[in-house]
Amino acid sequence: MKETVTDFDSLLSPLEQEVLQVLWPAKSMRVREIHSKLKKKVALSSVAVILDRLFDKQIVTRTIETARGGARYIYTPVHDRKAFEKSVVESAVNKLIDTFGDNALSYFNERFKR
Amino acid sequence: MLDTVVNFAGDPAKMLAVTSSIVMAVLLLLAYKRFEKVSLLYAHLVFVLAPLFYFALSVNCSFGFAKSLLAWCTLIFAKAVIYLLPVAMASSFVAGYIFIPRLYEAKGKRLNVKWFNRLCAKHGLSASLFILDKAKPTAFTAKKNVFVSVGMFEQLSRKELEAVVLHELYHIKHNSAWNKFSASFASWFSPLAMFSGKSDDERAADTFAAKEQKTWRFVESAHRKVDNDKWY
Repeated sequence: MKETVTDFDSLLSPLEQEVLQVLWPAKSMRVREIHSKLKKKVALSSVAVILDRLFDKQIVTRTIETARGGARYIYTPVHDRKAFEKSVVESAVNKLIDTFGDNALSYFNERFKR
Repeated sequence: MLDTVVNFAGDPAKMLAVTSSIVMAVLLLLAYKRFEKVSLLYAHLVFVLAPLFYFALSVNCSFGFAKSLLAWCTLIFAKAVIYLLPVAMASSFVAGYIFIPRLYEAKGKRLNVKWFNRLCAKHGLSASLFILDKAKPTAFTAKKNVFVSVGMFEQLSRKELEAVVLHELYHIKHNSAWNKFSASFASWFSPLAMFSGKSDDERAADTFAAKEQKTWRFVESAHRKVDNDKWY
């Protein structure tokens, strides 16, 4: 799959996608580190807001690190990119089956026969 | 009921007592504004409410049934205020001064850092610094504790953070939380107390921080970073 930041358009905002693109390869990062690695120039507070939203959506987890007389969050993605994509597909398919039942299943059968 | 009020108002001795009480309440309120002693605010409350109780207690129930019912209602109301006042105050005190700070202490994590201890020692305060698990930048005081969110630490520089902490230490030093609570509590029972609001408390705390740092730079930049609407 081509790695662009527009892969999850319907699920995540452009900045959320860009933040995840930075976070996935690094595994764990601080807000300032993510901010410094972003291609788009945005305020540090915007990155903090985005990470807080991703935390609320349970896409990332965070732990508090106390160091040098202060505190900061260390953000870690819940899934790596591949597992995240799988969970997105899984939830989309489940949603379709829940909503359309047998119609969705017969459509999938037809689709896979092609 | 109107007759009772007219009779009460027509008695020079009673009116002298009422007027003296209200004048005393105004004087105590002015003294509170001048000396910033909360005890004066509570004393003013006693003198504001005294005429109401005096009126209620001076009503006699010797007239007709309906009128005596009104007098009875007034007495009940006055007694309810007398009993309610300490109960409301005690429960607000327990909630605001004991329960809520304990709740935040339990939720927060104490941070023992040199720069904070140095600031406290400089101002003769024995305060503690607590971290709040929150990404939104926020800081406040409860009792003698300063609570700062992780988001605040992340987004402010050390000097800006120091400005925020100095602002909060001003509140601890001047017992701002207790003053604010007392002023809003008093305004529930006294219309005069509405004129005693100290809206410049936040500005005074900022001025204190800027004076300590010998510049407004960090206070202003901290405000710029924190007072944005991205979090709402």
